[in-house]
Amino acid sequence: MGSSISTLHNLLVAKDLAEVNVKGRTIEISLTEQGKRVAKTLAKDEAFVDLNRRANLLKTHFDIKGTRLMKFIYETFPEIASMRSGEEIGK
Amino acid sequence: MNIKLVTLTLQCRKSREVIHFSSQITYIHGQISAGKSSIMRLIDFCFGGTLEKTPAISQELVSVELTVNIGRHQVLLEREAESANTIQVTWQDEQRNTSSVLAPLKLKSAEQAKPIWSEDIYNFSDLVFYLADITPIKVRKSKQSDDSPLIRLSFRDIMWYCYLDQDNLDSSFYRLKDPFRGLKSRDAMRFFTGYYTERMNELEIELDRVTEDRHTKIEAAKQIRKFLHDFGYGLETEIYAQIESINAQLEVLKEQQRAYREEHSQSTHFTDELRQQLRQLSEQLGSEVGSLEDLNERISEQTTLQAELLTAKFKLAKSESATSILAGVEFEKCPSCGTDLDTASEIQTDECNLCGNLLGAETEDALPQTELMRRDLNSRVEDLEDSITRHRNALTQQVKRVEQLRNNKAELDARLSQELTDYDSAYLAGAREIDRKIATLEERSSNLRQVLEMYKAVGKFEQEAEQLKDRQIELRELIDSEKMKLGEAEENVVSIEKRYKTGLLSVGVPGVSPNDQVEINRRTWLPWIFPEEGDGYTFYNAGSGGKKTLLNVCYALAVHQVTEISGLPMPTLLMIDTPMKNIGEDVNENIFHAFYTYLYNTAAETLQNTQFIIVDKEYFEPPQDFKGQVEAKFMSPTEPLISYYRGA
Repeated sequence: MGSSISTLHNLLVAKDLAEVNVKGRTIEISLTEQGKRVAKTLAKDEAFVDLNRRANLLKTHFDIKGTRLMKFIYETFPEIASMRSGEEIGK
Repeated sequence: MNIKLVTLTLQCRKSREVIHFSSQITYIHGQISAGKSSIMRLIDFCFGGTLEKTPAISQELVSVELTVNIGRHQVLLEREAESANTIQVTWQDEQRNTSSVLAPLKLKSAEQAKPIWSEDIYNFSDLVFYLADITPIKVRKSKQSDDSPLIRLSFRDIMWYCYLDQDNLDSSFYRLKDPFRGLKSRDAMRFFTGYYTERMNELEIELDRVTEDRHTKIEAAKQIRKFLHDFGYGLETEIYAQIESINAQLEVLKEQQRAYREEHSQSTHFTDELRQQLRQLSEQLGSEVGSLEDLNERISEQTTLQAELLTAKFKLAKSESATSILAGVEFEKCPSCGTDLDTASEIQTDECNLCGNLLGAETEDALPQTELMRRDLNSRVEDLEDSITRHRNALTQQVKRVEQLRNNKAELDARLSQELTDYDSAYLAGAREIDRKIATLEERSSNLRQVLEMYKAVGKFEQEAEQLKDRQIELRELIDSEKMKLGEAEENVVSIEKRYKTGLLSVGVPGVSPNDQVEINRRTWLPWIFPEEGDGYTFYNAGSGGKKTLLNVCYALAVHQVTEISGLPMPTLLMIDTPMKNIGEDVNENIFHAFYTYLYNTAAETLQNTQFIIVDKEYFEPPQDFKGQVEAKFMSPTEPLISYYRGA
């Protein structure tokens, strides 16, 4: 997965959609102006409406780092650890 | 049997009256109601008799004492007026040793009786015989039955021949007609006359034992037979027949029991078919449930796969959109090394700005590939949907089938259980009924066998009783032959007959002539007088009261004469209360004279050693040549027995 992110990251940087800055031990990835425009275009696309809505929801209510978010979900819904793919939560 | 009265002392409330007796004749005479007869009664009372409670006696008498010589002893007999059953006996022997005991008049029951003196003195009667140094014979308690036990002859039975009381003088003081006491009186006569021997006594005792033993066995057999009869048991043979019948019934029932048990163990196979069906059904159900689980598993897998394919479809759609949006954004840096691309100088517009290849050939193939993927995904999703639908239909059918099989199995299970329960209940009820009948019959058989034992015991008793009967007959024959040997006793009886006749003739009893026959019946001991013509008579049918009195008195004198001459065990005491009862001294002066003359003569000759106590209204003086002692006492209401008493 690391190589995929790396590949994706390289592609986004090569197309000038994202930029990477290293501050000490922290790597900051942010969108370029062109990246922001493309993102807005994608957000308006029907295929990404849901994704956009969920991203906004997370950003609004759960603006926390990835590791904490993962722990929060496993603590709140422990049953998902044993669920099969495609099965509905709370069924 | 030497018995001589010395003094009679009456302890009254206000005085102490002492009467001395002559050693031979004491003649008490006087008016009526002076207490003459009471003296006799008080003597008899001291010898264990009952006391007639005249007003004077009951009001004034406290106790009475009699000093008397019995055998070689000086004896004092003391009895309380109110004392019912005891006499204080004090005696002194020749060595002047004095003893005293309180002697009961009646024997206590055999269990309670303890000797009052020596080893075999139990009561007053025994003690008098002991003091007189005489062993009394044993007699049957009751002669009415041969089964009566032997007891000692009582001194009281002998006293009837020594005390001729006024009340019975004209009937029978010997009580020979008395149903019970008459038998005792006969025993007394046998005792006086020696009409018994030790051998006969032993034979009688053995006869007594054998008779009692036989009676006990017969009674036991009778009681057991009655008991058996009362409880509905018939003859012994019937019992045997009943036992055989019960045994036959038991055989039949036990055979039934065996057959019933075998039938039960065989009959339980009727459920085998049902069990087989259940087994098959269980296997089928297991298989169908397995299929059901497989179906569920398959539907679950296919549903998951369908979901993944649908997700892939969304991803493909997003990829398409993103590709079209991102298609317009050109690479400005190399995605591999990050170096800025110089696109203006070397790269043509129809070439890739990264690799420089022509673009036309590849773009024509790219679009159909995405579409192909989308179609392929749709096709797969549809196939899966179809498969899931078919599987769900199959699942519904399978659920119904499993449900049906489960119901069938439950029904068969219940049926098997019910049939087994019903069958066991029916078997138990039947088996219990047979068991109950068997137990009842076995109990009955056991009871009857016990009853048979009782019959055997009865048979044994009866057999033994029969053997004892033979011994009884043998003993009776021996006793009869022993009686034949009693020659001396027979002589004594003949002597009494002669003396009696002499006495009757001497007194001049009316109707008795020298040719009359006098005979004592050896069985009843009644003295009969048989005139030359007409029927015989004795005390009871002599007619006149006066004649009866004379017969009684003459008989007593005859018995006393013979016993004294032969030294037989008769007390040397004869008390006659009013021998002239019913005979007027004035009218029958001859008889009066003749009687007392005969009495004095007898006392002077054969009865020298006998002490007479005579009570009569008139005094007849002894002949002048009478050498014996006569002490006459006159009594009148003004000089009564109790000196201060002036009552009725």
